Amino acid sequence: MSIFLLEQRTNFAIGDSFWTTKSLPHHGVPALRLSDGPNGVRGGTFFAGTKGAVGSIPPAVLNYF
Amino acid sequence: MAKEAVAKGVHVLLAPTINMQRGPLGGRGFESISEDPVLSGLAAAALINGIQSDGIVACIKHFVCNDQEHERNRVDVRITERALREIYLMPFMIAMKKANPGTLMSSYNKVNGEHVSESKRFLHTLIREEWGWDGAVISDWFVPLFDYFS
Repeated sequence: MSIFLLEQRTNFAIGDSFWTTKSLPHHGVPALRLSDGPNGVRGGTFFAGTKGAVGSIPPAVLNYF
Repeated sequence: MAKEAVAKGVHVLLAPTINMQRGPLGGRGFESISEDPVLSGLAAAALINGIQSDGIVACIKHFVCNDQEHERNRVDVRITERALREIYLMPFMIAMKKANPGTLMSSYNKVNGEHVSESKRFLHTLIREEWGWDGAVISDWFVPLFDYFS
């Protein structure tokens, strides 16, 4: 991390969107997407997302907040 | 699960959850593996090895003592050292020993008066020096926000 400027480090720490980190194109660091499971992969949306192998039902998902 | 992650463009899967299922009122208890620390740790290790063998990064969470619904995001868990180590830290320790998860998510709550997400004892002394784990620590999603308002 020491090769990055303070601003770049800060951006990487707080992310870009709700589920992605900020990319650092000059250093070849792509944006990463993160997703909760928990039983299967939820993806980028809480509701009405693409079906997964084992999805979360909305009442259960509400506990995320 | 790794294949599903790839299909959804996900690089880091925020799983498995290895908090303890202390009771049926824990709204996120369904995510966790069990109420047994050893079983949770071993099952988590198997999940991590499976997920990461296909190129996706796993994340064990929520570190630690984030096991009850009431004041989930801010409760101060008062706990003895023995219960902490034998029950709540145990699955994390086993998962790190039997697998090498790329990331660990620190929890919202406090343990014995100190926020885990800003605790040198938990996030440095314990997991780095004592357990020798060198993966990345990420905070739970709104921790920076809560810190800002607190």
